[in-house]
Amino acid sequence: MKQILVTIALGAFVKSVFIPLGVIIAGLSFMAGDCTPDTLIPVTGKIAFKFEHFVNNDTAVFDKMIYTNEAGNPWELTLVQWFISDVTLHKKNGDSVVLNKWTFYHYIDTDIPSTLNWDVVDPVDTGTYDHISFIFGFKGERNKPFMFVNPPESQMFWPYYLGGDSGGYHYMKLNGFWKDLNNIRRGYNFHLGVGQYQDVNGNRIKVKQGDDSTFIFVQNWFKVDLPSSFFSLQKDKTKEITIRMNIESWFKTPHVYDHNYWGPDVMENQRALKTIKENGFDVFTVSSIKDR
Amino acid sequence: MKRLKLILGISAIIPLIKIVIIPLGIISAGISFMASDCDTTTPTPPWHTTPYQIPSPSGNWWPTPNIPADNPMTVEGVTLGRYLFYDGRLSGRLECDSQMSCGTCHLQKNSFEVGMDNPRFPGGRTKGIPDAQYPNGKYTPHYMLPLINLVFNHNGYLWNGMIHSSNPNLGSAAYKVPALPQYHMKNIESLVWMGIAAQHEMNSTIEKSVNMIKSIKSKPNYAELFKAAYGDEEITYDRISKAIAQFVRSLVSYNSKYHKWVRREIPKLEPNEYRGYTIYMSEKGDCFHCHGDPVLLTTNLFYNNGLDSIFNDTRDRYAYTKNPMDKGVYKAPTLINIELTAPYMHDGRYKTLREVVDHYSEQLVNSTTIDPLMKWIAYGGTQLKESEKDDLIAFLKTLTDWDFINNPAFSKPADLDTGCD
Repeated sequence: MKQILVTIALGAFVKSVFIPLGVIIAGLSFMAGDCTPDTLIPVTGKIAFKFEHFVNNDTAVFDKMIYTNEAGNPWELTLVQWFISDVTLHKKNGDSVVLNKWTFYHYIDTDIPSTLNWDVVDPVDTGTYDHISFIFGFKGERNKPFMFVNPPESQMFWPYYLGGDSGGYHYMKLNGFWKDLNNIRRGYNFHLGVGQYQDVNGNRIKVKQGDDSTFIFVQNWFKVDLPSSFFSLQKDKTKEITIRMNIESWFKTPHVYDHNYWGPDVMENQRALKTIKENGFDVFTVSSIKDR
Repeated sequence: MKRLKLILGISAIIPLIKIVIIPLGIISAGISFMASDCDTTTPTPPWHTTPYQIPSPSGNWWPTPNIPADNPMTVEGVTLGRYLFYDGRLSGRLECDSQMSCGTCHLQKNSFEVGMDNPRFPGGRTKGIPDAQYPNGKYTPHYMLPLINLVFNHNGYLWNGMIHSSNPNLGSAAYKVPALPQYHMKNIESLVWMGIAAQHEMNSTIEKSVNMIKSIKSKPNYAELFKAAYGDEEITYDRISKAIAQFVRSLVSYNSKYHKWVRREIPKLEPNEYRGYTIYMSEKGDCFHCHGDPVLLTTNLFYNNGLDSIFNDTRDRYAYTKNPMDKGVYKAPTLINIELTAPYMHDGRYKTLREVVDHYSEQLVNSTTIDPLMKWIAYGGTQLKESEKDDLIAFLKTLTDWDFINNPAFSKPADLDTGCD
């Protein structure tokens, strides 16, 4: 009798504890097993970017009026601050991966050396990549006012009055001086961000929205396809890619940019912003790709 | 029978308990022990303090507060700091004509700046407590900076930004303060020893000031206030500086008409105010590049804003960085409450907002270190029309936060009696 009761009690215990446990363990094993085949484990490496700023094929020299642009303006450089976002690695077969899982952007500031390096957190599948592209600045849907509250990114603020709901931050501030036609050293603020629709006289255009009239804005971000950015990534390796901004190119192609014509500030001049945008397409090159 | 079954069933489970439950218990106890062992490494205050919450009505619009890890804000710490901030005996003196507190110069009604109408410093020119060398008091090298929203500043304090987390220096031979760790130059706490010891401020010594606070037995009862803030009655310079810094960090101004408009709590600005806003936030006035953070109204960065072409100030940004391009360069202060904080600029040269606007409109002075943001330098400035200046000033006045100015939490405690009021 005792044996029977013990058996019953044990049976009940096994049913209530071990069977559910077994089911859970089996389930976990199944899930783990689902990941175990070698063919399905992502084999990854890492990407790190370095950023450098050059003028006429040499490292940019700051605070010295030693350059002359295509328009003949003597000019000097004070600082460059800009955003890169949605970096994308493209394969020859059309597949691509966007490096935006951990963060979708990086801020670069020539006054803050640490910003000249970006170790991307996202693991990247190994393999051969045909080329790299990125967004200069931010796509409109990303560029929300107040998305940055801390410096230095917050200092790239672009006024709501000039950019609306999709123009919260400068894409770039490139500041310096040029000598005008009277040989006076004057500051220029070569800034890019969201522009405003304007009539032929440069007056801003409003549209009726419900009871209110609102300004309409022009997105000036652009996609950069980096030439000669082919590379192969091996398992557990870090590929270090150096992106170079060739600053003189902002003033050179396809439009010759004359500071005397455009003046020192451009944030309310969509024609100038469009010119800067179009000059930006070929500003960037890859100067080196190597294993770290 | 039923009872027997139960007993037998339990008996049968005993081996299982031995094999499974007891080891699990031991492991669990071990983990708990390890956890409690870890807890002992983080000292738990034996007294109760209440964390102080920095107000930020627009939530995630405000920067991360800049609060040192070794001085978390508590209600008790802020309360103590408020008494110390307003206590003239911190200067180490009892005589009414020579007592000086932080609040002597930093008046709430002037957004914690000295103001033009300060009874002790008419015209806003502050000076230290007199001594044999300076019978009338030594003038402070610079006019005052705003003492508000400092908790959101990550770019250094003072006009040249020398008080910064990266500054490794300790003490000051000129102030006769030794190079000890508590006399650092890293944050708001650092400004307390400087204020006490500088000949052009309280002109005291750390020892004299701390001893004076120790000697005060009532109104307030500092022993009780220190015990509430720090767990015991010990009064030290370190605790004094931390408490004052906590109070200063609590001085957050966010409720101006402009802020309420940005938060959409009020539907619109007056037409002239809005026109002024468009001047401020566009290239026409171009105030926003330096004073542009939409809630702080400053970048907290440093610029040569075209005041001079010859630089002989030994306390400009260059004095700290040694970068020649920083000669004549100073911090851009917040413009919140700007209508209350005259005189303006580091040397107080402008007495009215109109004079300041005139400066940026027509009076910029070119130099080798002029900031490129002063881009209309060839014309002397932005060349605003008189009506545009009126509108810009109307907008600047929307930055006044009367709720802050009249907030009793920031005023002199009613029961503080220094024997001089």
